[in-house]
Amino acid sequence: MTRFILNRIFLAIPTLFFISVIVFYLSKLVPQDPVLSLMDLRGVDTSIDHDDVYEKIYKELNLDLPNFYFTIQPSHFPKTINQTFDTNKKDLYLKLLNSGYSFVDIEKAINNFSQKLDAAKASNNAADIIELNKVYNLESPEQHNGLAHLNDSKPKSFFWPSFYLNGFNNQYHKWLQSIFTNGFGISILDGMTAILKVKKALTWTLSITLIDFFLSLLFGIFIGTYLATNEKGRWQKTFSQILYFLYSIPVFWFATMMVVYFTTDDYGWWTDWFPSVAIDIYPGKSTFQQILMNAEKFILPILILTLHSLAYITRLVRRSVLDELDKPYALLAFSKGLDKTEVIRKHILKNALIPTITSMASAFANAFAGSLVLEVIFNIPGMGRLLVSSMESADWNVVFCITLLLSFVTIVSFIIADILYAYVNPKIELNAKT
Amino acid sequence: MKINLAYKSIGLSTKQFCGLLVFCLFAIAHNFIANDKYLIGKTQTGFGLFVESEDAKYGIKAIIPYSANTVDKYNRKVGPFSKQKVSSLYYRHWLGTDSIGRDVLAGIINGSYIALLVGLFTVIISLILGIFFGFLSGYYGDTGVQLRKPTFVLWMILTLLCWFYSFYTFGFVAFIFFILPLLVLGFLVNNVSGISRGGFCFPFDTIIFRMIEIISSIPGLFLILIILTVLGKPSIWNVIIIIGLLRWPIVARHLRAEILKIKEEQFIDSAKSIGQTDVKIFLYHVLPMAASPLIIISAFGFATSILLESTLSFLGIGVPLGEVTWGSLIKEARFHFDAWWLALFPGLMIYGLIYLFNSIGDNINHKIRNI
Repeated sequence: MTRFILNRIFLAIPTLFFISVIVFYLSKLVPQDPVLSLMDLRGVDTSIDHDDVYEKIYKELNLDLPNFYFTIQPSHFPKTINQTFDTNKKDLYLKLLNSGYSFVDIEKAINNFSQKLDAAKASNNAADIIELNKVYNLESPEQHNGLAHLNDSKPKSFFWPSFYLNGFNNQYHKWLQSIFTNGFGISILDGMTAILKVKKALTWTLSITLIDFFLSLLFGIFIGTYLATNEKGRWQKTFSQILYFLYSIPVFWFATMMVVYFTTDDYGWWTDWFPSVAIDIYPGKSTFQQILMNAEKFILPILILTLHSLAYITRLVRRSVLDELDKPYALLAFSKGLDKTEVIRKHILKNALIPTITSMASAFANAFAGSLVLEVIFNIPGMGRLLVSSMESADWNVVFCITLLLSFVTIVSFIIADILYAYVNPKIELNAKT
Repeated sequence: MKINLAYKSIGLSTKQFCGLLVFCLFAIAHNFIANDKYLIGKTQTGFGLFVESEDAKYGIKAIIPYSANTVDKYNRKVGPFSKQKVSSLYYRHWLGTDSIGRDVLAGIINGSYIALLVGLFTVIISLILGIFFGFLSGYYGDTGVQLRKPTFVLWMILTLLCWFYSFYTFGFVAFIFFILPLLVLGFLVNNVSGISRGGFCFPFDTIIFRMIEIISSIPGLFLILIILTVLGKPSIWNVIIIIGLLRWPIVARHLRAEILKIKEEQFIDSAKSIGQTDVKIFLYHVLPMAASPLIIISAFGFATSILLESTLSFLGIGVPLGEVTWGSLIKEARFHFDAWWLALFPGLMIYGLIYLFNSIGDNINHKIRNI
């Protein structure tokens, strides 16, 4: 058993590694310039050029290091392209390198060009300056060639790959380190550490998700067993139809309908059932106290989320109880003259819950996804709303912190499900694939 | 007289079939049902399709005289039963309008087109990838493909080179570079299947299973949200491709389990013994046997993709601003509590469609279990 657990944890490491690499490269694709955002936060006026400040922050964020542990690139690419901190110049380099010019030629050409530009500026020739600036910004492909042809160099039509090892002094490694030491960097909105912000939001989300998870599990197992054992019962048909309705209904629509119709008295005095959706923030209180003070506003979201996951779990339990009832050991138990409740409780339920446990992990992940939409609708300051609002304001450190954390939670819940599964059902081969 | 209905043989009821048909009809013909232009109009030069109202003298109009984006500035946020400032009953907004005066019914028709697009293409993408990877991992397993060690090393070098060049070239050439190693591998496998000992076993099953595990441990909705925002250009095709890429592991996992069962059958051995190629065995003998679980997954996948897409447009991410979908209509309802029609009708459509596909999946499942 210990070996099985260790094996599962060991297998999760490459998964986490891949996800972190994906998230790291996503963070490189972000349209905003991280240096400029940080300059904004520190109160540097970005409308004027601050090359020295920019370069300092650029180096502080380790952006001058290579991206990964190794680099594979065409042989005419320079090793040190990341050290060019000027974004325009870097774009220019990359464009020319991609069309096959060697780095030495490009540098010569750009030096030539900047001498010309300086000369033009010295003689105050406005037309020349505009013309040269156009070339520098590469507005059309002819100008693109024009710059590189300044010293008669020819583009390469074929290139070989070259391979460098960068050691630990690279951006990905520093980024991983900063997760543990720095907590995902700081949020550009208020300068708070990203992980602290997420921690606060997580308390709100977990309080909803966990209550929902246990309520739906409790009622789901109960109702599912009832539905499976009373095939001709009085409430059978009504219950299954209601559950099918709840299973198919989109959470966000259900929530919107409840908010629109049942939190105001727009449609008659009797429709004002639930308190309105705004959560009150009491400054100076801890998050947990705030959750308790807003308890009545949690009723509706928890109700909606629970009804939704209830439908999912009930279907699962009903199906597996029905499957177990068909098996010979159930028949034997009945023919021994055991009471129906006793058969269900002592024999059937133990076996029927095994497939339910494997689905528990995905049910938990589903609850997180469901709470994302509900938090947006009900204005609860949880993970989902934090994610959406951080994305709107380009607060990427927080966004990537949430992504990594959620992947981690998902992976851990999958591992726990696997271990529980092995614990409940010793029959299964411990090292077999599912 | 007994009519043999094809849809009944796979377990669909007549109601479900009709519902499917009506949905597809609305989605395909959305431009002809709701349009503010003349479908066929007489202009000064002659007859034309989709003629602007100002250019035409006369012509045939659509059943609903509004496009999804037509703004009726005289009727902003009017309900289906309230008084509307329209010239005749033909121009009435039967399901009301939203806060800037767009017809809800026209929006719903346009939304059904988007829903069909999303559902169909995500299922197609996930089926293509899922069948390909499911075939490799299920049919060959960890020991099915053996290469001589030097061949394997050469192939590995070729793969790395090809993928390097595909990264630094663009368009069709890049695609060719990307799939070339796989084609070469297929060729090698067909020619060396004779060796049984001492070769290098290509661990398809392990590699693909790890891929499946990694993708399914990523929280889907969150990743889609982030990728779409990072990409920055909202487009319905980005949504489709990403949902499709996240859904193929489900298909691959089920297909793999099916193939493991079918592989033991005798007819596979017989086919092998007369020298049938692996691809032909898979296409003619394995895939038809494994088709029914794939159909069920596709039906449920259709429902899930539509749900995901409408959730995304409800959050306002991924779908361009001008595009009217069911989710974006419900998004409006959040800010207008007095407009009950905005939340109700598009939501009923989403619910209805998800219900339809879920019940179709259930029916087929039931049919298969009872055979």
